[in-house]
Amino acid sequence: MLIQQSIIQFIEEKTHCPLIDLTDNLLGTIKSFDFMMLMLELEQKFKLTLPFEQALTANLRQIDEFIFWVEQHHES
Amino acid sequence: MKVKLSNKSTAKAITPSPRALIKHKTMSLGIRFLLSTLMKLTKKRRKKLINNIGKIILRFATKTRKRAINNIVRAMPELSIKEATDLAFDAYGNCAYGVAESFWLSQVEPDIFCDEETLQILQSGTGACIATMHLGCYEAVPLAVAKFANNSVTLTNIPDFLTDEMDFYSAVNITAINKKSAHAFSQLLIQAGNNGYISLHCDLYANQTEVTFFGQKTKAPSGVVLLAKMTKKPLLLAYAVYQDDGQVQVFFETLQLNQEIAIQNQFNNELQSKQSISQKTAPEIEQNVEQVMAQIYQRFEQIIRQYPSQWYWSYNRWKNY
Repeated sequence: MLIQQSIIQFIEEKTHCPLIDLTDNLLGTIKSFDFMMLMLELEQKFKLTLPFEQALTANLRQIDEFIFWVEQHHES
Repeated sequence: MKVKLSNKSTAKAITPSPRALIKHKTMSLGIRFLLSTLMKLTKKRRKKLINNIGKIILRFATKTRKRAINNIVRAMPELSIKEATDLAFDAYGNCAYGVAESFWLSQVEPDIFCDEETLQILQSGTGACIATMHLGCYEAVPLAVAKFANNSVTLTNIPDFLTDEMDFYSAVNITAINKKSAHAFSQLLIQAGNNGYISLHCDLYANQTEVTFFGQKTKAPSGVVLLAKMTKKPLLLAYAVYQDDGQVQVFFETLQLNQEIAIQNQFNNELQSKQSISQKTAPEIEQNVEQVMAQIYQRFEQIIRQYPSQWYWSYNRWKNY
């Protein structure tokens, strides 16, 4: 839940939009620069190592898929 | 090696109209004709001719000329207007030649300079992120990387009419990703994951990270630093300059993403003096993006001051400041 909150908060800050549609394409919502910032922030905040190569594959395009993917890495 | 210009039609994915196709074809043929004519000249004459064409273009490009002179005066206020104007013309002529050399990269044989640590990184085959700049021959850095590594990658902004007809990079083992492609970023990440050596120009303005450049605040693209941090790859700085005889020299340096080395040295000294505590590890303080960018821009400034007539001064470098 914390991860989800962090990701949504990050996207809201970058887009200045309070209502995020979780089915939106992540890279269509934030810039690639911000995406890298987000990955680094999540790694630092939650002491994670995220395999960046996977981050943009077909099944991780949507914001909710990305959240689920990060949460999975946190749990493991 | 292939040129990775997938999605050539760019993010829009629009089929060009017959009129646009004819225009592209005509321009492409024109370039080919111009190139074949230029290639008949000796290197020295070619350089002189392109240099002069560049200067003539700048004479007519009022806005570009004014911006270059303003930037020079802003960066080096000690120069008179005459000196700044002369420098603007010299730099534009040199940059015109630097850009033109992209068309015959296979004929460019750069001399490469680096320290032992950097050489090991370049030869390791495990990839790196390389911050480079618009100085001298723009594409000489990825070209030099390709001499060491199989996977030299760069971002390009080649007009569509050229991408269809010419593979500037394929002959020299460079993978070029079209900046305008919808998947440029994904491709860049994939290449980084495949131990690519990613050369990115980062001396332009971008609304990303605040830096001080020639004593004045501005912003800069810091994607190369983020990419290095994210992929846990080494970060290098590289630049290419022309010598008086037209020979290209490429310099590589390793940048430190953390302050571990400096602290480690201090720590070792302390250990030696006390002769105690054997299994302690030095703390590692990772520099943040701003700190690394400050380091890069400090070096950029030193390099530009050393070769002011080879940097492209016409960008709107201090936009909004």
